[in-house]
This record gives sequence, C-alpha cells and structure tokens, in this order.
Amino acid sequence: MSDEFENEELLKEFLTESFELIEAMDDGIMEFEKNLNDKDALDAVFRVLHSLKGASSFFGLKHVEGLAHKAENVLGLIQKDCVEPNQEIVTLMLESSDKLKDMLEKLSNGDDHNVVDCEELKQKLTEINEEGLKNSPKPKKKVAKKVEKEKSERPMEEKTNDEEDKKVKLELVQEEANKESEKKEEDVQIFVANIKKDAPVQNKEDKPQEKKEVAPPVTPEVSKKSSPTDSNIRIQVSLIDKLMNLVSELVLTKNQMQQIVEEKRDQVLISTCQKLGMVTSELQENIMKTRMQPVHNVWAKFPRIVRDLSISIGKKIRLDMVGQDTELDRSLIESIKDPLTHIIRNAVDHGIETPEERKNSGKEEEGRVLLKAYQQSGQVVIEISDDGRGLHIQKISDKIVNKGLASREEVEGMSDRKVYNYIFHPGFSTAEKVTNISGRGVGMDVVRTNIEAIGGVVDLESKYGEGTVFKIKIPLTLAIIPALVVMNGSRNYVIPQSSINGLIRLKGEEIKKIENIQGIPVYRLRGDLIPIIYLSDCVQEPRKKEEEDFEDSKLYIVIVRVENERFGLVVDKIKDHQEIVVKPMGSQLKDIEIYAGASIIGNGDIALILDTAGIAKEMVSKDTKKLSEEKSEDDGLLSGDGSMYLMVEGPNHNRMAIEYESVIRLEKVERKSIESLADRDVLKYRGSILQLIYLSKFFNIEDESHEESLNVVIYNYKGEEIGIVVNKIMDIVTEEIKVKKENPRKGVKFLALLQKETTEILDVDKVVEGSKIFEENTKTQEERMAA
Amino acid sequence: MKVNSSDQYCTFYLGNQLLGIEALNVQEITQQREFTKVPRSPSSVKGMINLRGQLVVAIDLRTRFSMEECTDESEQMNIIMRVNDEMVSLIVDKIGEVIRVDNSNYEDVPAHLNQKFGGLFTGIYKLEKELLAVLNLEKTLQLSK
Repeated sequence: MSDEFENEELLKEFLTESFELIEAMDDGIMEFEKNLNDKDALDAVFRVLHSLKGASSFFGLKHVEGLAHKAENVLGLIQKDCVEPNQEIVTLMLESSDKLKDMLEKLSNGDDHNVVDCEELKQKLTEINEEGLKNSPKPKKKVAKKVEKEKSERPMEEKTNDEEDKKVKLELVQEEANKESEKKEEDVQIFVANIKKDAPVQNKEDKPQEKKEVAPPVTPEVSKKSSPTDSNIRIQVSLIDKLMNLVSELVLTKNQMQQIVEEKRDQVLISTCQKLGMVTSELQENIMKTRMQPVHNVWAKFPRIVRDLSISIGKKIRLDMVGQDTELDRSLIESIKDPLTHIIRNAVDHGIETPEERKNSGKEEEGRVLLKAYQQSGQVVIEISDDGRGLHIQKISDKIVNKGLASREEVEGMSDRKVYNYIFHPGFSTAEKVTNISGRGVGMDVVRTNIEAIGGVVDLESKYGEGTVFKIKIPLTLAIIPALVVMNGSRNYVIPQSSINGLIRLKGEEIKKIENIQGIPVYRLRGDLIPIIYLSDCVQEPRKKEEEDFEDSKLYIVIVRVENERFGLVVDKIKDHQEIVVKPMGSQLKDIEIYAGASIIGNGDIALILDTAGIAKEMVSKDTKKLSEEKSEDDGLLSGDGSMYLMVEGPNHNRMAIEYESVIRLEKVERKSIESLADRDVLKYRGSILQLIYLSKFFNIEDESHEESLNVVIYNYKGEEIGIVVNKIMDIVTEEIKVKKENPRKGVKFLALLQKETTEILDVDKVVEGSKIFEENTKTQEERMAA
Repeated sequence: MKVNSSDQYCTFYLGNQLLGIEALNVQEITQQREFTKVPRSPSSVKGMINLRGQLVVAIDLRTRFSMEECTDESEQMNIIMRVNDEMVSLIVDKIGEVIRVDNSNYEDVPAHLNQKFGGLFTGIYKLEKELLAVLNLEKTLQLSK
C-alpha cells in the first residue's frame, strides 16, 4: 500500500507519467522491430527504461526497478555492439513492457505490485546480459556499470526503514545526487518535469503537447531544479473548463454589448467595441485550443493492438497512421476510442485475409490497415480503411433477409451503400464464427450509437475483394459556433453556419417556384431538385400570418446540407449571423431529434439550435409515410425507408430512373463543348476530363435529338465521376418502390412502379461497364468473383 | 424505503398538499417567470430559463402530477435543483419552510395519496399540523414524451 510514502501525490504523478512512458516505449519497440538497426528507436526505449529505473528506485519500488534495470542493460549492450539485436529480444522487451504495465496498474490500484511474476523474464534477460558482457571489449565499462549500480542501490537502502521521515529521505537522496552529479537527480526531475524528451520521435514531428492531467503542484524540492528546456506546464482539467465557461460568458456579453453599441452613433464607441470583439474572438480561439488534443492520444495504443492481434490469429497486418496530429476536443477523444478500437479489431479479425488467401488473390501477404484523420468543413474526419476482403453484398443481403430486417425484394432494390449500412443494425453480424475479438453482433450498432451520441456520423464503403473504408465524421468544436438566427412565428431558432449551403428569398410570384411532387415540395436550385421542409412543420407551430398583399409576401429558404444531401428549410424570417454559445439542453430534452442544443443569442434570448440531420431524418420518413398511406391499396406494401430516385427520360422516351444516392449532380452541357477522344466522347469538366456515356448508345437506339444542349447526370461510378447523357431530367422522388420484374433487360436492375407508372430502374454500374470505356482487361465484379 | 440521508427538507405547496425535497439538492429559489418554450418538448416542461448564463429546464410540477392549472400564480416559484451534474427547475405554487424532520415520524405512502399523485412520492412525514410528502425526485424527472 502507498502508506509508506508520505507524499502520495508524488507517487500518483510518477504513475501517470510512467504509463505514458511505457506507451512511448511500445512505440519505440515496434519501430525497432521493423528495423533492428534503428538506433534512434533503440535509444528511445533505452531512455524510457533508464528513467523508469531511476524513478522507481527513488520510490523504493524494487520490483519495478529490478526489471527495468535488466531490460535496460540488455539494450545498453546492444548499443555497444556486444549483443546482436534479434526478434527474441524484441519479444522480451515487449514482455517487459507488459510486466511493467501490470506492476504499475497494481500500484495505481493500491495493490501489491510485487506479486507480478517476472522471474522467468528476468532470467532470460540475465542470460543475454551475461553473454553480452563476455563480448564486452573494455573492462572500464564494467566498472562504470558497477558504479552506476551502486549509486542506484544506495538510496534504496536508506529507504527500507519505514519509520524515517519522508522529507529526510528526499534530502538524503538529493545529497547523494548532488555528490555524484550523475543522472540520478536529473532522472527524477526530467522524469517528473519533462516527458517529451523520452518519447521516441513520432512521424518526424516534434509537437509540444500540453499536459493537462489532474495533478497537484509538484513539491518544491523537486520542481525547483526543473530542466531549463521545460516548456510545458501541467494544470488541472477543472481549471481549463472554468476558463472555457468564463470565455463563453465573455463572448455572450460581448455580443450583447455589440448589439447595443451598433445602435449608437458614437464612432469611438463602435470601434472600441470592435476591438473588444476581435480580442474576445482570439481569446476564445486560444482557449478552445487548450481543449484540443491530437488524435494520436487515442491512436497510440493501436499499433500494438494490431500487432498482437494479427500475430495471435496468424495474419500479417501493418497499421499505418496519417494525420495523427489532427486535433479534436478532449471530451470527444475519449468517446471515439471504443468505436475506433472495435472497427480496427474488426478489420484485423474479419477484413484482412490470411497470408495464403492474399497471396492467392494476388495481393501482398502483409495486409494494411490505414488510419487517417483530417479536418474538413468544420468537422474532423477519421477514416479506417483496409485492403482486405471487402464486404460481400450477397452475404449481407442474405443476412438482412434471414434476420427479417427486410424482404428479399426490398433488399434487391437497395443500393449497395444501403445494404452495407445494415451492418450497423443491432444484432447483425455476418461473421461465420463469433470470435472473442469481434463478431458478437453487439459491436457495430454500439459503434454507431456512440459516435452519434457525440454528434458524429459513421458510414462505410466497400469493394468486394479490395477492402473496406469506414468514415467517421465528428463536429470540430462544441462551445462557440457561428450561426444564423432565424424565426418561425415569434420564436428564434439557430442554424449552425457549418450546415448552411445558401440562402434564398422568394418574393411574390417567385414563391410559385416551389413545386409539389406527390405531396413533397421541392425547389429547383441550379439544376438540382431539392426537397423543401417547413420549419413550422418541424416544430409543429404555426407560421407567421400570410401577408395580405400577395405581391409583398416573402418566403425565405435556408439551403441546408446534411452529409451529401441538401434540403431547403423554409423559415419566416432570417435575422442575422451571430456567434452563439452552445449550451447543453438538459437531459429531459435530449431525445428531441430536431434540436442539437440551445443557445443564448445576442439580445439575451434563448434560442434552440436546429439539428439539421435530425430534421432531415424525421421529415424524410414523414414524407414516405405520407406516400405509403396513399399507396395503401397496393398489396404487399414494403416496409423500410423510401429511397430517392432521379427520374429521367431515356432513349425512345422511356421512363427511367437512377438511384439518387449515386448521383452527384445534374448538368446541362453544350453539344459543341464535347470532344472526341480515342473514339469516346468526353468533356472538359471542372478541371478534369469527364467521360460521357449515352444511354441511347447503350440501348442501341438512334440519338434523335439534335438539341444544342444535352442533359447529363454526373454519376458516382466507384469513386469516379461519369457523365450519363439522358434525354430529359424529370424529377427527384422519394418513394418506396415495389419491384415488378427483375432484370428485364441489360442495364436495367428492375421494373417498378414509380409515381404510379412503370419505370425502368437503371443499373448504371452495368451501363458504364457495358460501355467499355475503361481498359479491356478490367474485370467486372462477377468475373472476379467467379475466378 | 427509509430516507436516511440529510434530515432537512425544503418544502413547498402544490395546491393544499405540502411536499418536500432534500435541502441538500436545492441550489436556490427564484421567482423567474420568463420561460422560453421548447416546441415538441414533453408536456410538463414549461420551458427553459436563463439562470445567469446557464440554461435550465423548468418542469411544471402541476402538469407533472396531472393536476389542473394553477389559478393563483402570484406566489409561484422556481426551485432550482442540482441533480446528476445538471440543474433543473421545479415550478411550485408556493414555497414553504425548511423543516428538520424526525425519522420516527416517517411512514410509507398511504394508498389513496399514492394514487392521487401517481406514485411520485417516496414517503410521508407526520408533522404537527400536516403531512409532508417526500418527492421522488428521480421519478419526477423521468418525463414521458
């Protein structure tokens, strides 16, 4: 028990830092494993062990010290070329790291750490040491070693007497240290005050990390002599949080002030207030930064996990990490750890194939998992991709049907992406065997829940035979965001700027531009049809009364983006852009999907923050419910969400439709800007070349139209943009469709009733492949699978 | 279920019934009347109030207990509680005194009272002149949609 030590806090600090050191040591060992000649990695591990040894002796933790000492010796011998580095040593080092971790954990739980058995390990290390010493050329070194040993052992003897006053012990040690002027003292201070030096070079960047662990100030004796290169300080987390709150309040008060000042005419007052505004913004930005931590803090453990896991199941897998210093609010860092861990373990366990399988499919034996993080439009995106098996759409489809989550027909009608997303459904797992690693069927849905709980989204893409990519998007900051204040009736609402794509005002006649397709209002925005949602419907409160004079009536639409989709939100009034402080809403209101929180706006009023994703989710399902009510006379009504379809007129004036999910945008293109390139039609489009595919050509129908401009649907074909030329673009509809006939002809997935008329739902992927616009030796999915 | 923590209760009235909550949980009492309504919130949520920069959800206890609306709002008060690291306000008709109770006067909830107030009590203290019903805070704060 830690009764021995008067100053328990010093021990706590030792433990916190030791854990960090050991993590750094693991990194070093694995770097070293990749390249046994990597001197830097070796040095890094050596330094960690050295520090651990020194500090643990300072606390009288003989057991820790003993192991650290032996391990350090082995490395020292390698450094002096007395011992040949090999895989066995790497394994021993990893074992040492694990044992040390165990000891530290026991210590932090207040248990006896001496029970951690490392006799066998120490024996092996001793053997290597003795071998190495035999090879040691200069006897002088041996003496130096002995002297060092003595120095480290002496302070320990002082300590075995529990009765002694701690302060006296400290002083004694310090005297010893002073006398020797060896690393002893520096060990403790450097250990306590400056960790960064011991951490191995990561990604060749030396990023100073602010340490904000909970730790009371270090005792004066030790901190007095902190190293001059120390540029970090430790402060309590609660202090940072307090600062955050105060800054939030400051921003609010500044906003209020600005509102009042803007009405005055005093120039000096206005400009002073502006200056205040700038300083406040900068203050806020910097305080926010203190809350940000690099993703690396969560990722650090993964390489080791992947290594150990892959070895245990006989696979060769490498984990690469890109963008480790991408920063994330500290409150979110913890929340993503579990989801990430699960996805990675999944990739290792199920995604990546065994070395033989990989060889047989022409891949490298070593599988690769890539962790990537970057910032994008106010969010942090984390991608986990593997080059493994990819998802088997048929297996998943079968599972969906077997679990009764959807009927066979529905599943056949779903886009690939929709099918893949079913793996997030509770109780879903296609793993043939439930291993103790993953596959229990409780993982993926928990992953999604956890990520959504912090306001993020998770999605995935997969190519059978090539691999899978998971994408997690998390909001960047929590507290203060730029937003637009809008009104419905007499209430204020707020929309985060990051969700806004544009603003539209319709006056008088223009209001007719909102068209109505089967009960869903839509608006044509630069060629795209976007659904319209009325804020009044969302909040179920009446709108402002219509103007008497039709000419004067105005309609305001806020174009809102949710993931890759857009919709228009009709509001009564658009007020202004403001920086608002996001306040937690209270657990009683958390379940209301349309709100993301509440805030206090400039004039001191409370305004609810609209959750655009929640609105989209709710309103889309509402619309499809409406549609299904109308269609209830049909037999065999499908359950499940309606999908969006782009309706077009194909060759021969045929009614056709394309799954809207894969449609990137719609364009009208001048015929004369189309060029011919090696017998294909292409277009210079947005800085690159866009390949064009004519539906008429595919279906072998004469292109009769000689209009100057063509209607092109920009389609997402496996990540590439392809232009599909159609006769006319009709509508975008959201419907649950009923499949009437499957595969009626090449290029058509099935026939279905869309808007009460028979429509051909195109299999655009097949159309693209059938147009043979890629190299001849590109195999289609089926051909590859058959191989 | 015995109430064994603090023995001081903050009391208030709903109609003629005297109710109490542990004084330990009570942060303050304020008269604030400006509730910002939250559309689509549970019916017993009267709205949110701005308490010196903190947004607090205010629950109308009358609504929560399915009682009629208050006829005399002149003495209505907000009791600001701290529960599970967040603050919540309970709107009551009238504030009573802080009372120290004697555990020997504790009794379980009689059936008729339990029915009338929908099981939102944990127990009763017999005071000199009236009965003090102890509010089941946890249940009170579980709002249905």
